[in-house]
Amino acid sequence: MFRREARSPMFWVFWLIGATLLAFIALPLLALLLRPTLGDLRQVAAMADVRSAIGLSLGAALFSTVLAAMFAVPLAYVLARQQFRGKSAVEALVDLPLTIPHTIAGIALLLVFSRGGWLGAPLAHIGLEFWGTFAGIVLAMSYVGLPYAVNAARGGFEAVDLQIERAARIQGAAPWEVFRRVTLPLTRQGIGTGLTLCFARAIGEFAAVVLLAYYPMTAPIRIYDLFLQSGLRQSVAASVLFLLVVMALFWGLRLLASVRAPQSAQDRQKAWLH
Amino acid sequence: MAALTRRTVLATPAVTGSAHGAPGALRLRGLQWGIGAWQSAVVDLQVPPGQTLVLLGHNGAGKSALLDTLAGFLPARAGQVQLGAQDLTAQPPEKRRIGYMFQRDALFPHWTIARNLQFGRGAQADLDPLLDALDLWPWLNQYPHQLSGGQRQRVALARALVGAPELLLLDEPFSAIDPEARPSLRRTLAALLRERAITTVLVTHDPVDARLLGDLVGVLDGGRLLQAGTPQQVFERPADLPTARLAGVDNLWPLQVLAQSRLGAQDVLSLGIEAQPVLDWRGTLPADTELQPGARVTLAVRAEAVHPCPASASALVTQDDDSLTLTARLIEARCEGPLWRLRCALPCGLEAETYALPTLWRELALEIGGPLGLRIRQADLHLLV
Repeated sequence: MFRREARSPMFWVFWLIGATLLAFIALPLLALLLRPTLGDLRQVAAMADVRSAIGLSLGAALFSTVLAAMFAVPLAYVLARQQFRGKSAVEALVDLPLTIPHTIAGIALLLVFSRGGWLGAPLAHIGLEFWGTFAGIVLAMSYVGLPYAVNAARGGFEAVDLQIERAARIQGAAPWEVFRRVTLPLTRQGIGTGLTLCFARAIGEFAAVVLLAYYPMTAPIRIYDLFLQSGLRQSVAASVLFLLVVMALFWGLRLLASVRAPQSAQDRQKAWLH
Repeated sequence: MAALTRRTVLATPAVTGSAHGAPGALRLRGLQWGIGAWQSAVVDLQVPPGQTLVLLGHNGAGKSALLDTLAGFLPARAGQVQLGAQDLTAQPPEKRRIGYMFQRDALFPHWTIARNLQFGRGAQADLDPLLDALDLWPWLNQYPHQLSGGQRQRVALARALVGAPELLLLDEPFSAIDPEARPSLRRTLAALLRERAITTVLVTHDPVDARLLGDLVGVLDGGRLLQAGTPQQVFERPADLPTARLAGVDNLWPLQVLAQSRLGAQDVLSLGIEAQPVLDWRGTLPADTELQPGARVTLAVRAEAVHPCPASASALVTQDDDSLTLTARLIEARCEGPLWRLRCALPCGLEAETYALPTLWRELALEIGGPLGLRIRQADLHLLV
């Protein structure tokens, strides 16, 4: 049936339009990947500051993803399970970092977390500074990545039938135990998707990070810096290097997820969706 | 109909009886429940220990919300829920020792059947008797999605019964399974309820469940408890028209009082349509009921209380002391399992439903459009005023 539908003229037209979109996504990346020579790549890979920038980006994105897991998951659960006055305002607030330009987000963060900012000043007293620090990078990355984590986890929680949680409670489990043993395992995929998106958004963030912490340089800032100082050649090579590292990481994560989700678990998921 | 079993009791709304204070008796005292803007009426009800109350009602009657309130998932708007000597009203669900079988099985999809049953209260429980009773041994290492709907409901029932709960709540236990699987699960459930004698509240829209499983039947409509009593009381003497409809009374005849008189100790009402007499009803009217000529009433009679017989050649209605026979015309005959269901038209325009065993159906040799008699005991004609 699917094949017959796919042969209809409508699907040919849709495929044509879709192929244009796919080419639009793939072509610039292809151009980027084919541009540098192996020598160029070796040269930037040998640059200690490029390597440390990539390492810093990975570390800070990972840290902000852990923070997202800690803060986004509880909020996602509340939004999935409770109705309350002002819920739509809370939802709009969660989505706000998606809608405002990230340069503006960076400046706003600066007003709150810089040394003289609302929270920056008191936090500086306990030794937590955000201006030009690893903490500042994590903060900026989290700000732009959190909505993805909240929304995806929320979708995961909403897909869990409330009756299943109720069944667990009536069998004698307290809410914490129900959450830990029933809800979380059933939402693992949704939360995993959310955290992956959050990590992806965080690792590539430039505008918000550059305003809060130009130094130490994350990979996107170092690439921009190379572009300004040395022109296109080195910045392209650094970009490709960074891209390869990130792609390898995501490919590894996907592999890990497919290994950790054996056939039976996938069947369960299907049955559950059914 | 006098076959009241040892478990058939007395509870009616606001009854206080001998079960007062006994462990396991469920008492709702002035209970009001609701979801959002919807709110039930105040209900007083008692289910003696070990008995099954079946609450009958359409969708939106507030049945499931009541179960959720009994389980502690919804807060009571007013009143108390008592189980034995315990006041459950403010207790969280996990402290209530209640077994709850949900409409959709609500099994834990990421665990095997064995783990499903061993969760919470089931961790320390001896599962063997339940596995035997519900025939679950072959499925222990399967996941819920690998089972049929009927098998999953069996597991859900086992999970609700595990660890000896003091109260069992069953929400439309048969609605999510194939009609073919229902009788078997219904029989199993009836046997388990009898054997374990757990105080149970079952909600359903199916009168068959209520008749087969209920020691007590309550009729809920729009959050109001219209009637509660033994199945005999509710099904044969429904309190009002909505209750009669919910109780599945097949023949509800809207009639007019033409005249009222007395014959010995009995009241006699001549009933008809547009001044044309249809039949005489004999019985005892409630003490404070005065029916003037022209008053509208409904006569309720179950199809199984109408007996098809050969038509009388002489009269449209023949009446003796305790029964009457109406002449009718057969409109339709359908074979429903072991019985023939006959739809008949009375000369006054009303329709009547009745059943015939196959032997009787053959004996009567009825034809569509042909005449037949419908004999009804006066005691089975229930007047709704």
